[in-house]
Amino acid sequence: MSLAMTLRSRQLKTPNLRQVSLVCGFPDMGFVGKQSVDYLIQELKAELFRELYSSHFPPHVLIRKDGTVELMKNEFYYWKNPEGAWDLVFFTGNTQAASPEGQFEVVEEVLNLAQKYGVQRIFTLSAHVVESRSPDKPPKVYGAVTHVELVKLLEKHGIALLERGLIEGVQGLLLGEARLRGMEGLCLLGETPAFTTPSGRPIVDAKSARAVLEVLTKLLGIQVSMAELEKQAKLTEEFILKLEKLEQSVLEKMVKARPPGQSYYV
Amino acid sequence: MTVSPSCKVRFLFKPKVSAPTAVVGSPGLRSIGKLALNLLREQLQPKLWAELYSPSFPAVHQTRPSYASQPSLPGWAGGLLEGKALSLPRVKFFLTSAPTPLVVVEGYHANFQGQYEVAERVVELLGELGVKRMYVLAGYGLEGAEVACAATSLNLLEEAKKFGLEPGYEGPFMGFSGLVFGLGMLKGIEGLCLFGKTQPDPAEPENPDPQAAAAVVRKLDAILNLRLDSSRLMGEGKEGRN
Repeated sequence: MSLAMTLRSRQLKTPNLRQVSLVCGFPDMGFVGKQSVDYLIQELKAELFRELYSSHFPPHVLIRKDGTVELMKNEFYYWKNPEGAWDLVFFTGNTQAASPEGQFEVVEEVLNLAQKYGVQRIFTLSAHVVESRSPDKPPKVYGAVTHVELVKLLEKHGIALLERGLIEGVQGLLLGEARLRGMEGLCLLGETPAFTTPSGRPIVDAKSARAVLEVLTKLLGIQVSMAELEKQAKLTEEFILKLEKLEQSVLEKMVKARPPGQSYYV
Repeated sequence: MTVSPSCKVRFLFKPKVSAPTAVVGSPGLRSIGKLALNLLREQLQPKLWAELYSPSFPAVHQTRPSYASQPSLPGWAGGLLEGKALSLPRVKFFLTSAPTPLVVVEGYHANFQGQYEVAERVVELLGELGVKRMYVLAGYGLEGAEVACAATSLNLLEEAKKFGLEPGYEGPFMGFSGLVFGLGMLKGIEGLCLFGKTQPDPAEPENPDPQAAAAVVRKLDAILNLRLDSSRLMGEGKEGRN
């Protein structure tokens, strides 16, 4: 028996857009890309116009804190630039497809839509995981490009070119497929140590998201207030500092509690 | 949305019922939904009306628990021995008109390939029958009320307060029941989920907790006035509440 076509979309509005750039971010390490896109959507008051559902998404729903239910989905938002310059389409979601087949299918759908709207440049946002990061300097932003001609653009904005490695998921796949279709794109990756709580839950790295947005807004030629993100970044820093202190005090207690004269490991 | 041709539905009779309410359960956390549904079936004696078969229903799940399907683990197909006869894994739809028009849906967990498709087909069947509201029975493993709830809308949550129900669980709701609950919302079927509080058993996630199931049945009974007796469940099972 054949299996179903797995992707479904729900068109909520049909925006009239000109000169469009596509910006994409999904849950990633430190939620750098996701936080960046969500922040732009919130600050620019971008409007939801299309939803995607796929049977390759993880087979569950989410129960929100208020008790309402949410399906796993991807979403498109649009923002019409009042200055008359570049309009923006944002592509984000609470999940990615859990199989390569599903991820390819989603990316095909996104690029079809991008071509329909005449998208000229694609930006994907993600995280670049590092072991540690200097607390005194802003996080570095790395870049990857679909065409070597774009390297100069990275250099102009002081972005380090990422020459080796891989970009997982839609953030990488979208650019790879875009290149095959002759569309150009960049991935901006914010440096993050991918902090987690002691129980392993990821901590949103707002500081890294801020660094990514500093670069992205310049590339897009738009102005966005970073005040709220700065507040979040400060809270993150304080939280991480508390966690580090807690970790240190646990270690000290373990050392004190060890039986005298015995060798031990921590 | 399109519906896949790979699910097959076998109808046993043509239902004559007006705007029934649906009650949905499946073998999830500590089997709470399944136990509660079994009690409903026992006491209301609904008639088996339809069965849904899918090539994505493994007889043996490679995932533990069965509802946590993974893309790389399809499971093994096979027949199930039920009573004296062998049958295929399936979703069962029961129907009763008394004390109130009710569709009882006993779920089955598909592998990763089939979960959405099966849930869509179930929701479509419920829609065709005129179902406007479903109650989903399941469990949750956190500190909180004996039964917590979740709903497809804030209005329904407000209505649930009358029965002493409040939200108390935040996070993923996996497998058959979760997807039927969520996809129902897209098809215009409102849903209220009743989560019975239990102690998760990591070694045996579906190890039955009849007491938690009884608490869920009591809440459902209070809402639908089905005149159920949950005492049979209370005396069942060696696993006590912690």
